[in-house]
Amino acid sequence: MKFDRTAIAGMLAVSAAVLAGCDDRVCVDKQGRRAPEQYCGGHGGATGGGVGGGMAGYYFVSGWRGGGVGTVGGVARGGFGGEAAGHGGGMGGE
Amino acid sequence: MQRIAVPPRLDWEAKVEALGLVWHTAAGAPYWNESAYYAFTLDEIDRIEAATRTLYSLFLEAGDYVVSQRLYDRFDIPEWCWPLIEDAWKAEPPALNYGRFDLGFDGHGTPKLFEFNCDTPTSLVEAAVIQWDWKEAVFPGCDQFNSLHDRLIAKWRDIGPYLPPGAPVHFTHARESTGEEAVTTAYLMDTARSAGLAAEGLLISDVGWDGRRFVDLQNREIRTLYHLYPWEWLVKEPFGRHLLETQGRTLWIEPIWKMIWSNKAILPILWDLHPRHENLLWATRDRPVSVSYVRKPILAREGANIRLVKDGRDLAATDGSYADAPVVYQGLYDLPEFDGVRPVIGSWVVDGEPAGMGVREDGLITGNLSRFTPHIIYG
Repeated sequence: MKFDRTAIAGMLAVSAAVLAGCDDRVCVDKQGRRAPEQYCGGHGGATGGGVGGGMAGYYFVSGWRGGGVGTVGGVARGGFGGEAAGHGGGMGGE
Repeated sequence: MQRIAVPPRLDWEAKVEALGLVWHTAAGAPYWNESAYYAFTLDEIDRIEAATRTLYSLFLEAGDYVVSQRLYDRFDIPEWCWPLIEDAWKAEPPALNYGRFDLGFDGHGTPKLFEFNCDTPTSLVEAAVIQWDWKEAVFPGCDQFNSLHDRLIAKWRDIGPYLPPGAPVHFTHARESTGEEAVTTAYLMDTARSAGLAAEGLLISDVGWDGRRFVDLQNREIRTLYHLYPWEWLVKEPFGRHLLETQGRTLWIEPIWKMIWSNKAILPILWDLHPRHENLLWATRDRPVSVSYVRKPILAREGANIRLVKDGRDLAATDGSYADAPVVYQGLYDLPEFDGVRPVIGSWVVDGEPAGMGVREDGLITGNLSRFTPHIIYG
């Protein structure tokens, strides 16, 4: 068992924790891939905007409501993430 | 190395979704494909593992060469980033040192490197979690080349004492529609928590700048920032220059020197340093040296803007948003064909050590509609 692992039970618990709060509503995005319902109709850019709710802990809650850099209370947000929009949303992975 | 058809589990969609793989179907077909599996002998796995170990050592040497010779212009890296890269390369800040070598392998010869995805590698959840759970359910008596999960936790545990104290690790990714980046990032966050680290998540677009520091949504300073978001994008964006002001304050995982290794401009340098190495394909910057080659943008992702030429004739090509990017040329590797599909091996390292693998199937070019097919070790 050269490549066997020892922490499988822990792994499964971890993954369940990732999904805590995630309901099973899904839809199909424009590439035909299944996507959480909250993202349907909102594809194509790092535009921010309250995901949160039941998905908190799974999809990170967004406080910035998108489209370039903006400043609230002396804190600017939106200074990262803009390139993703130019590549169709997300970073595409390697 | 064999590809063997097998009935999918009856409720496979629910099973993989329960473990986080909500992007299991693409373009109406399974992306997660358990209607077949690959069976490798232990000897074949040993060769993949050995090649992975060797390639990592070649990348270390190539990184030293690039930094010592200051070859950053070949990588299209802005000049203001050069000192940050040099400092990070020399100081070796805490990092996972993880990534995925994409290899050509047919079970007979030696594995050949296509590229090293070590800045924002994906297919991690599939390789670490989903295929292991499949193996436990379908082939519980068999083994799998897969120690990813344990090694990730061990590495977080290893670097934990060296992270900036008194603050959580903030995990970030870009907003996208499929859930792939969110779940991949959340999975890594959970491996950090399993190692006893405090961790929180936010979108990369939610990272704030208060004039002196990067801050989270509660305006707390971000001291350690994991990013599933490419370095070449970060440095181009409005907050990019703040990297200079926060050097030594905010620790980025992975470090900025990954701009060298994850860039395909490293391929000609590897070949120049080790011509005819058994795990490398020839690679050049200026022009192909054979009538059969692959033309790749140095920074493209998911198989975009690739052109395959065989015996001087176009074999295949893909579109994408990298048409104007600098390119490299690499020797053409004839991917093996099994049942009409061609597998690419994704061989992972964590902490620079071989850590497991995944197999993605596609046509001549492996793109974002490739299919992940699990594997076992037999014999």
